[in-house]
Amino acid sequence: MTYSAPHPATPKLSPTHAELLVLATLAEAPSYGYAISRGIASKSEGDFALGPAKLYPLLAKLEKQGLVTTSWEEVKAANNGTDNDDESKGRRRKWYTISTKGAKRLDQHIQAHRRFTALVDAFLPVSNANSNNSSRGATA
Amino acid sequence: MTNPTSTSTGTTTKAKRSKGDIKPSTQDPIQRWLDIFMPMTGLPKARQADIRAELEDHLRARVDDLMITGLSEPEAVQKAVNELGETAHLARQFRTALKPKGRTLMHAALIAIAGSALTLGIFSAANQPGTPPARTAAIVGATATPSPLSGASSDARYAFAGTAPFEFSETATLGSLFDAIREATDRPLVIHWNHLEDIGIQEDTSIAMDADPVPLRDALALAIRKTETRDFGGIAVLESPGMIEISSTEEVDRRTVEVRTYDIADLLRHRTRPDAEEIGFDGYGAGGSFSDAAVSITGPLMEMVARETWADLGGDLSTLNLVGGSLLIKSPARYHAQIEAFLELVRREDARIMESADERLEETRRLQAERDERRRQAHLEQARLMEEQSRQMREEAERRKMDEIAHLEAELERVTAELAELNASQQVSMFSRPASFYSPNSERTEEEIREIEENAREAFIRGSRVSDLTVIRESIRDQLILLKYGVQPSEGTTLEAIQQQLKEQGDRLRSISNRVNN
Repeated sequence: MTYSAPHPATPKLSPTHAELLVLATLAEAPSYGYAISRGIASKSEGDFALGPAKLYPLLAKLEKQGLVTTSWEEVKAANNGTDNDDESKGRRRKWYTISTKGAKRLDQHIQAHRRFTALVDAFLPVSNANSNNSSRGATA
Repeated sequence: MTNPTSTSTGTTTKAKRSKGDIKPSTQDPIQRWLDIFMPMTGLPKARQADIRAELEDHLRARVDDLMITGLSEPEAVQKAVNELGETAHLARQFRTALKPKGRTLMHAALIAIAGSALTLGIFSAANQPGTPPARTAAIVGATATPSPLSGASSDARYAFAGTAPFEFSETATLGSLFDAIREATDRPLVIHWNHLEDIGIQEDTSIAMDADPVPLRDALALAIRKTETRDFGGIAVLESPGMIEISSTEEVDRRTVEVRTYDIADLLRHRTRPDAEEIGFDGYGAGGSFSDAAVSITGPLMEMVARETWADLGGDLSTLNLVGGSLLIKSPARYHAQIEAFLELVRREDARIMESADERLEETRRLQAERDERRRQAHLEQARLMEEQSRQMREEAERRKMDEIAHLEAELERVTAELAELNASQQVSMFSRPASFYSPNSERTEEEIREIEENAREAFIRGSRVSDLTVIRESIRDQLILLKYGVQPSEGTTLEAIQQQLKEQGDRLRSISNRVNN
């Protein structure tokens, strides 16, 4: 994974969307910071880069707001080193799980996002709106 | 690797105050970077430890991934750290994330009122001379234990320090100020340097400033203000009859933690009533349970009062729990006055909302009453129109009935006249010849026979006609009885008989009436 600059045509990830993507990621399964960042970059094919400078303060904020709960894991060094994330030197890993309040906030984000998208699509020619949706669907 | 000390915010005082886990001799570059970065966040130590562990996990995982792509370890470490961006910016990001500017409050008015009142009314009044007793009672206290905080606010006047002038020369330090105060006061002065050093304040911390000499009591206030920081707190002065202690606000807060209960059942009842949202209590938990509604109060409370101390927000001094309709709050003594003031503001805001709701309810009732009246008038008008229509229909029906009666009476007269005429002609016919003319044994001429046959034929025709007219007359009479008296005529009832009955009934009623009146 590389933190390269996003495609010029791709809009910058706003704080609201960053929160949406993080909560959506955690809604699928609990995760930790580095894996969250990696997952978002992978799923967006590098267009969305939520680097550590934005991600970790965001996670801290989400935890403070009660939208996520956290737990610590003692990460032991793997014997065979097959999973690079576990090649640790006895460090601690902070896991995040979306809370009930966080799930409600995610629903609100999703509804707002869909409403906004629908409103914007209403202004677009039918061919452009359909072609945009098709291209995303093909690559997802 | 970015040099975090070369930031625009670095000052001598702040550099000396950075009290993170600095281990400059470590060989691990990631640990070395974390050693330097963590104090820059200015967060409490417990919070720094967590962030440090998380960032270390991130950096090591990232280094592992980068090394897989072919980078050497030093290159991978450099790149991973660079990806974190400028360390000062990252430190600010963490501070901002964990100390928001105030949000998720349910009433904008409450924010404005609480913010200004808390800032002006509590912080400044807490230690002002002449402050109303009600405000200072929670802070000063009057017990045998050391009185609560009388420091931490730079507007405090420390009478115990005396009025001897103190000069803020270039060599003025906290140590020299405390020495001067020790000379001036008659009570022992105990300075907890260990706690002060935890927040980066030492005996030789400079308090030089461009100021004229001021009385010691004011000098102490100025020095406290100068050395106070938002992140580490500052100097606190604890007065008691036996001594004066100077320590850190953090240490004094820990010592003066108190548990108090605050009855908020009235506030919760407002928010849990079924029509809470309609009235204006539209925060979290509106119309729901006490515990949900309490969040709309405790959330802003923790945001606005001693934010960094709440356990729910990462602190380690203050906790609150809802027990029934009361808040059980454990917090340093100096914050309880602010908590009381906050709840008082909430009550005032609630009262305003209720008053506004009453006004709206009154207005709604008035409009409803007007609508009801308009509806009633509309119903009355409709009833009047229907009555008018009904009256017209009755009159029309009556008119038709009278026309029908007149027609039937005319027809009855005509039929009666025709019957009379037929009876009369029959009489003439019957008595035009003697009875012997019709005897069966009489000899008759052909002309006489034809006359008899003609007479018989005429009589038959006449008889049939009389029969028909009689039936018609009876039918007309029955219809007239029904139309005039509304009764179905029974067999043998005649119009004349009914009229006689009605006359007799009327005479009886008049007789009774006369007897009653007499």
